[in-house]
Amino acid sequence: MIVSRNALVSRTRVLTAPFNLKAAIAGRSLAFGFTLLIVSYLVIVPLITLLYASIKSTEDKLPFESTATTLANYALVFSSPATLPLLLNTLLFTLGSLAIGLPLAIIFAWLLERTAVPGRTWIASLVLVPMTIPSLLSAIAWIQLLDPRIGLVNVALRALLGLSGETGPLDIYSLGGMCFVQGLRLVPSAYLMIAASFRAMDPSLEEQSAMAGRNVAQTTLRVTLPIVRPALLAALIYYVIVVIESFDIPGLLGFTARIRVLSTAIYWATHSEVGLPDYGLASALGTIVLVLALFLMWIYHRLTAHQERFATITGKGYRPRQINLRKWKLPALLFCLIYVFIAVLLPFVMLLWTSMQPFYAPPSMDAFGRATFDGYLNIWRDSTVVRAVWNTTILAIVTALATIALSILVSWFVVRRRRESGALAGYLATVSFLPQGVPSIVIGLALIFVYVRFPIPIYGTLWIIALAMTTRYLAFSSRTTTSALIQVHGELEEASQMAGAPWLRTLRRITVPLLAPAMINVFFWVAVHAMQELSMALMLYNPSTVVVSTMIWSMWQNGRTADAAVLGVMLTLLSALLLLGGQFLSYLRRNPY
Amino acid sequence: MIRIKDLVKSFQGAKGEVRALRGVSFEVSKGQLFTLLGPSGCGKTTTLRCIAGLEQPLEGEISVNDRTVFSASNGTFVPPEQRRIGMVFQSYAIWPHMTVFQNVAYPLASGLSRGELASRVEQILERLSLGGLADRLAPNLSGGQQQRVALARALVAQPEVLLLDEPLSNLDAKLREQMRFELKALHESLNITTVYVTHDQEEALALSDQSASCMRARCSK
Repeated sequence: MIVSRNALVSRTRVLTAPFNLKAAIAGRSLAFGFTLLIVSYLVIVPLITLLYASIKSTEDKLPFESTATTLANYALVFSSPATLPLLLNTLLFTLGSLAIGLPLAIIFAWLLERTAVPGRTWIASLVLVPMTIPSLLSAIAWIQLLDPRIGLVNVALRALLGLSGETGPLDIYSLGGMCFVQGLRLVPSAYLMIAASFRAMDPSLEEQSAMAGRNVAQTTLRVTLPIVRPALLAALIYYVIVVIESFDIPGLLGFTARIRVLSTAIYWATHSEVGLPDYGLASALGTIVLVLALFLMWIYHRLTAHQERFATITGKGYRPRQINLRKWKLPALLFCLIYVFIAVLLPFVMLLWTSMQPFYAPPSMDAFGRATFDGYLNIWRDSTVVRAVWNTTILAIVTALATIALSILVSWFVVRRRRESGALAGYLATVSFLPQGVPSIVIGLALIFVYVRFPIPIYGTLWIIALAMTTRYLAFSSRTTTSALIQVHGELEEASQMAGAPWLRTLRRITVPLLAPAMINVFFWVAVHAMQELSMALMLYNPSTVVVSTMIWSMWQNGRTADAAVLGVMLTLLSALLLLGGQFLSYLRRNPY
Repeated sequence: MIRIKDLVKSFQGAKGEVRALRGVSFEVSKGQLFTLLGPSGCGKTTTLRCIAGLEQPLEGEISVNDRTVFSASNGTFVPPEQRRIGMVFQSYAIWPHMTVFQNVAYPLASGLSRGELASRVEQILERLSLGGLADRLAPNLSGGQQQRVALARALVAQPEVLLLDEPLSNLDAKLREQMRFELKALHESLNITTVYVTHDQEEALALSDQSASCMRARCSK
């Protein structure tokens, strides 16, 4: 310590660039007000408009052309003979999908987290792969496999079992077929959710049971499952909402099968094949689904809030005891491999095969000779495809950027302003999470009403689709950035303030870089979902704002199966690439803290 | 100098309002090292954060070098970034995405030329024996080094006042003694008005010219 006192003290201060005090304080308050306004506008306005539309009479008119207030729309829904089958189908579809998807997810969570099944890491990655295939394409692939006439599996089964006739034995165009495809769709994400709760369990609880002389089966049934039961119940409720919301699979399979569930009924009410769109009916159905989903979301919220109080589920990472499967090792491995073959490999290979056959033919040596990648080149000659790809690119980027920017603001005010403006911060937290319980098709429907009512000239543009998706994905995104921000010590931001940086500079130079890993993950997650999303786009697009998902939908409706598969394979590969790239970038940016 | 008069501050707790400060008053004269001593939860960190501007008191007045930075009676509140105060946090709050150099250069205004900026940062790093560590990323530093970086960052813009919030509490016993000595020497050479929060009586006696003990949210010298 040799520098003289003067060296440090004598110079004039550097950091006293005079600036407007009021502006400095106002900057943050302005941003708070702006965030409150935007989030309310995105979430509250469409829902209110939908409710309002549902009590307006519509006789071949848009809801707002008439001024009469009426319950006629609801009366129509509840008196119609079509309603009971509709509700019954929705119920059976939901229960059936969960009955297939959740047990599989639980088995994989248990096998891959708690047992020493050979090749765990490989199987765990393979189980997650179907996440990259858009639901729409799963449905198309399974149609190629299980179509009663030309489906590959049916053709093979008929030959194998010596069945006569042109159809069967399996029929994908049925409630059972819909449940099967939807159920398999649920497995990857449900597995992730349930595996997390297995991982968070204190292994000493099981060891205690073993010490008390119980074998593995008894311990699993009497200790393990009861402990993870709250988490399983929460997952169950969560996936009830997911299935009620799902549109792609019941849309595609139910169209041929003439089976409608609530989400597809809303779509067909506004896109009737015969006659005018019935907005009154759609808004009443939309309100019913909305109330149902929000109610379930509220239960889910209650369950997960309670779960945090559950003493055994802590944030602590345990290394759980791995159960030795002994003689069950081989059957367990075989089970995993069969699943991976049926649920992962078969649909994707089928999709690839379909994309390489200009005129569809079931796999054979002869057809193999005709297989070609030409479809991947020829598809670009269609100018609509080029436009769809371009629109989708813009849509994905804009939606992801808008969502992440809004989420950062929401999270900052929710986490850092809780003490000063508790009520407003609480409102922001609740409203930004609300879209989790608003089915996509309902958001699409509600936005039609909003922009027909208020003539803001974005109806019929790409921006309205981006707006819908930003609203829908705000819940997941702000949840993720909020939990990341909670990990960032408040003193890191305060140190920047003490160093003379105003709020916005602190946000830009300290908060945002520290949140970068979470932001990168969210960005790619939202971008991939925006690329694959069908129901909102289908409600809001027009010929100039066609996107890849709606393109695939209309190609399928028009019998352009090979083209749909070509686009589908490219979309799947791009999704996988983006998700992996996101993980990698996020890993690079991870703070070595 | 720092003058604090009748500071009142309360927090919204789980069971209603909790008074954190009830009428705290004291004065720190220019160049003095003043210690706030007391058990945890007695309001010494809250007092410090009020001086910094990170908390806004309900009532009272705070002035730094005859400039009123807070006054409840006429509604003055200067935000922390304009108070020209250096602060060392208990957690050190070294930004993990920046190098030591970037951390320390952060408080310097952007108007500075590149050469001048570098020389000022290097000067303060030398002063705190951090010479060779400029390019190190913050998380790759030991506890003692992190603390020096926090000090360098608090001092580089030559603030009028330095606030230290339990700066030695995260160090082991041996290092603590050494740093205490260095802090004292640093203060003597810079002669900067300093407020030092600690719960360690020995530390307070060894360091300060004057100290106040906090008991139940009041301060007495």
